[in-house]
Amino acid sequence: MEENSGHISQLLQKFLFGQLTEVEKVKFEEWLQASDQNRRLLESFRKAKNIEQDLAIVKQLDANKAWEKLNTKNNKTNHKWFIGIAASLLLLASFFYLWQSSYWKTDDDAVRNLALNLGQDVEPAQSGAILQLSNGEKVVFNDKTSKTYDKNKTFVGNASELIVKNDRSEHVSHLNALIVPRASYYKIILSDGTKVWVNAQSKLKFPAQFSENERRVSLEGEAYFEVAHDAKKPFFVDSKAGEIKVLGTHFNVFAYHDDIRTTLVEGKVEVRQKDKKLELSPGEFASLSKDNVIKGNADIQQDLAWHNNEFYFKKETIVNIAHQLSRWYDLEVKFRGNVQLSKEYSGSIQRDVKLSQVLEMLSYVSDLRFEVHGKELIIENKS
Amino acid sequence: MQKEEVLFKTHYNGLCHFAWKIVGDLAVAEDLVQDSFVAYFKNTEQVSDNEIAVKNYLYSSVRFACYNHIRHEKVQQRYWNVVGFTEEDNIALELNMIHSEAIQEIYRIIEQMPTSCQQVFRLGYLDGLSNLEITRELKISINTVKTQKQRGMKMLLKRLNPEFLPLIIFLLKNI
Repeated sequence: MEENSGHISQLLQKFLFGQLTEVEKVKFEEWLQASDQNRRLLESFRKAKNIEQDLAIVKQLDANKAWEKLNTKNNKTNHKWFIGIAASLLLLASFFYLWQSSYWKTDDDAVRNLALNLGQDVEPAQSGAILQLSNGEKVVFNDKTSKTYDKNKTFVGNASELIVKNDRSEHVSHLNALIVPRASYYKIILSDGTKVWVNAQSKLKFPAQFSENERRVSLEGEAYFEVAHDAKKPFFVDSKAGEIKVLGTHFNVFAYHDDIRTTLVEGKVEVRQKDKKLELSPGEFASLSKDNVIKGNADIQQDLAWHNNEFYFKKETIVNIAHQLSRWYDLEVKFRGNVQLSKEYSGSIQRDVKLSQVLEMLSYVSDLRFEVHGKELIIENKS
Repeated sequence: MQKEEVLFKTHYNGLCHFAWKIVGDLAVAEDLVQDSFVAYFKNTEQVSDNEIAVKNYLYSSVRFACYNHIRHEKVQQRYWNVVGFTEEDNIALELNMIHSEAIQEIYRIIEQMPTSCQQVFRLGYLDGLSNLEITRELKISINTVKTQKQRGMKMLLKRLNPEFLPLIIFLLKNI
């Protein structure tokens, strides 16, 4: 074996420098034809020119140190670490699937083409909203020219934002509703200067004029608040599960379901449910469910992704991802066949892209296939 | 050493080299490889005990992690474009895997050489010094340099899996 390998090496060397004799050429050809592997080796040989650089790279590595680092990292259950784990898990999982079916021969292109079947592409959400005044009148804000409403010119708005002016003639109990439909988002500046970014499929109720001793709005859906500071008038956000009390801060409220998630970016908020109270510091979240209040360290990037014009999926199930897509692109999502609903996916993409771009990304990192017919999104396993 | 540690130390360098070839950043490459190991260790029951299968699995998952990383970077830059990004085909992948394994193996053998030989070999092949420069660096004669290089090369030829031999032909010409 030793002799043999040396022999081949010599032949290869001579081949490289064009020094093969006729006899050797035949031998070399025989060796080349003997197996696919030999032919591949000749190929790999062409890659070898930078071997010194390659070796210099390996020189910088220290497997022992890396192993120690890995173990300490592992024990700390570092947050960042989980992104990696989740990503790799998912990659491993999806690859394992491909691998089982066809080992190395998987044709990525074929999979890619199969993975997406779009009748017509779907545009991302646009800025716009409907204002329902306390008297029941509805105003649609969906074009660029600014409109003014109410006899006292309380509301000035266009497609991108609505400004509410302090109207002393308005009664505090008169609630207006800002309705942001699916495939929409909107920004409103309340009469106290508080800015609220409202996500798709959400409803914010607010008075044009806040009362003497408090400011109170209610939310269904999701919104990001930058509350204007006013120590004398605390700001409250009511939701199905409880209320959030703030003085002047930046925070996000996710209230699509019965579970309400509040994520604090700046300042201080207090989350209340009946007699239970929790105070949050920046970077923390509180989760309110029917009869439970918990708090923990939040992933700001994840919780505020929508506000930062990003889809940011971190260890999220396809169900959660589908929910987000359905609101942003106004879709009905259906699962076909035996889709694994508990598998977790990670990834991010800008939010102002067409649906096809998001699905493209998802189909890369998952073993899922997507089909769009009009407003219907069908998700199934890649076959 | 436990089984996991052995596996890690056996393939770490090769996998990092492999990842580096794709992402072009050694620190990122190391992170991706470590992540893949962690994921693998958590999923051990899914994977066969067969050594080659495990190795292939690791290389594949690192490759996917690399591509995902590249994509993520691209997404971050708002330049997500399917057409602009082509992945290598699977034959190229397998070649790269062999290549990385070979580099790792060559390096391992270099580490096992006697000190004097190793010194010359490293200076000559890793640091890219010419024979003359090595003589100055180590204050030894040019013949000693040549002899040590040849000794080292013989060890390589003897110990290296014949599959990897084509690679070291490029080293041979520098003797």
